[in-house]
Amino acid sequence: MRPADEDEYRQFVTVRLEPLRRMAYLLCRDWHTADDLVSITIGKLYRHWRRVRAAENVDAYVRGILTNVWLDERRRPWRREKVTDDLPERVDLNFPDPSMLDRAVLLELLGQLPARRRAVIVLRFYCDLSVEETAQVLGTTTGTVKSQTARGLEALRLLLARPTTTGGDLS
Amino acid sequence: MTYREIFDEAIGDAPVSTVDVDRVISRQRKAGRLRAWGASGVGAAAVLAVTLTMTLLPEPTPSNIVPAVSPAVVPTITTTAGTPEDAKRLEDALVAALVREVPNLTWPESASPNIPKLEEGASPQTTLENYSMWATVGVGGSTAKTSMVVWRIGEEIFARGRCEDKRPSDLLHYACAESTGPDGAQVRTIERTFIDAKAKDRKGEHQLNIELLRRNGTLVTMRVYNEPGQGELPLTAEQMTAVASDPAVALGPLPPGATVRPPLERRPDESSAPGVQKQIDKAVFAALRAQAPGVKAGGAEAALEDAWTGSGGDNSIDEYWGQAFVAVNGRSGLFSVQIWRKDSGLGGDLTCGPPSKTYSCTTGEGPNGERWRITTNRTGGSERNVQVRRKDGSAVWVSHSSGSEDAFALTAEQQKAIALDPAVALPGK
Repeated sequence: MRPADEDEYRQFVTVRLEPLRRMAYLLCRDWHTADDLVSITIGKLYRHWRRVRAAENVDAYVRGILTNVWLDERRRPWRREKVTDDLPERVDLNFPDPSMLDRAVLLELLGQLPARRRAVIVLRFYCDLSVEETAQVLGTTTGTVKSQTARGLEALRLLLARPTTTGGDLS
Repeated sequence: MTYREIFDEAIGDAPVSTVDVDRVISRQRKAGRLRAWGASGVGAAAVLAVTLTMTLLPEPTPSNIVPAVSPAVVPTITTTAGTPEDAKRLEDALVAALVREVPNLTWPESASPNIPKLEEGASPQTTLENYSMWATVGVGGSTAKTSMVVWRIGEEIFARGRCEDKRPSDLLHYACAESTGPDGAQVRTIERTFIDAKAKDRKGEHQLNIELLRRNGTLVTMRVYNEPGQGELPLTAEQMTAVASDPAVALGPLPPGATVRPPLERRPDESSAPGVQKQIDKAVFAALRAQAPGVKAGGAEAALEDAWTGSGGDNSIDEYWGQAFVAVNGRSGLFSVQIWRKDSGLGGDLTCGPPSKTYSCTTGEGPNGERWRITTNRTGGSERNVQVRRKDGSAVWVSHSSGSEDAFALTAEQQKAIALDPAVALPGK
């Protein structure tokens, strides 16, 4: 890599490091693992930097790398959600008022979602990616992202509705 | 308040970053050179040399040894948690412990190798909940990165870790041991060396991790890691355990009126004995063999029992997961069983959507009133999932994949029979 490109890469990574770490933490819930994921991600980014920097939305691209690195690292194929059409899509995202949620419980519930569903929630609601961008990151269709979002939120509602959850007291 | 703000608040303060951008760049430069050499065949020889070196290195033995040195005097900590003074005190205590345990320790990133230098992070190094740091250290010709996090409330973090009973596939070497350390602390020692070919971005990284849970609930996690060419790790498990045990390496008292929340909520009944996992494994093997008597581990000369892997810390008395590549009559695929004591509802109401070119689904009721659904997805390879919701509220998912369309090793009926087998269940509490 040319020195000028490397400087540009370094600047980009330095500024994005903390947001990437926090996103990684939301996915894996462990800071050591989060840092490992980010290290791998920025390593991949370095290799493809000249091509990536020309992309329209570099941030979305990098989040995509990170998400896929995490999914790869899990190496648990059955935890990866597949495209299914077995439930109708729902547009009614009647998620409880977020201000009422216990923060730690929210993280705990997020951790109970299957991997791809969790990734969709993190990309859509933490990274503020659009449905189209999330679909591009995960290499899937917008319909799948919508249904995964709905199911993810529905799952959170279901988990919240349980009288006792693994997340502890919700009161 | 937006979701983003909520998540940010839930994440809380991040410990100091251990992501070393310079190291990443250095590795990628080396990798680029190696790829260039590989084109002329030299690279292959270099990789072979590295692999042989890693293979021939004597395997370190995980420690069960209680370190001999443990400061007898418990210091009185007067600085308040979350303050710069507390961070400085902790830094001094950590350096003192490191130098005490490893007198010839050097600090390669420092202006002088003998002047201790801890790296500055982008985040605060100390909060009410935790303290973190990282540094480059060396002994003789070897160097490595080391990082440490001190958690005020660490029981749950420690409880969720567990020694795997087999070496994960991306590791050349894996050793994990649990022991009792000074003052009754619980110590977990994990050593890992990544296989070059499978962990391309880690290139033979060698890690040693110590997790030490003190009787007062404080958890100290410490890691030292380097890569081929940087020599042996400069810290041993015994030395790291002694550092982590040092009572001065602790967060200061909380400010008056302050409280902290555990970083992870406690999961109830979260302690599955290894024997329980094996008991369920056996039931799964029996059910699998009853349906497919000639089943064996796919793609290897291993017995099914040896190829079967669990999920380590994720398995509990309320959850089970295990999987292996299996082969039946020349067809192979991944086979997985998951059991939940209480159905999370993630499978929805177990009904089917309209069929499509890539999706088919059937549902029904089992002999004991179980509700079941079989879905098959053909996108790339094929995957078939059998989801069963039992009358006792538990759920069993049996999943199976094939590399090519419809070339499953098991039939849908065989897969369903396994999922409905009453013996494939979590034992009662």
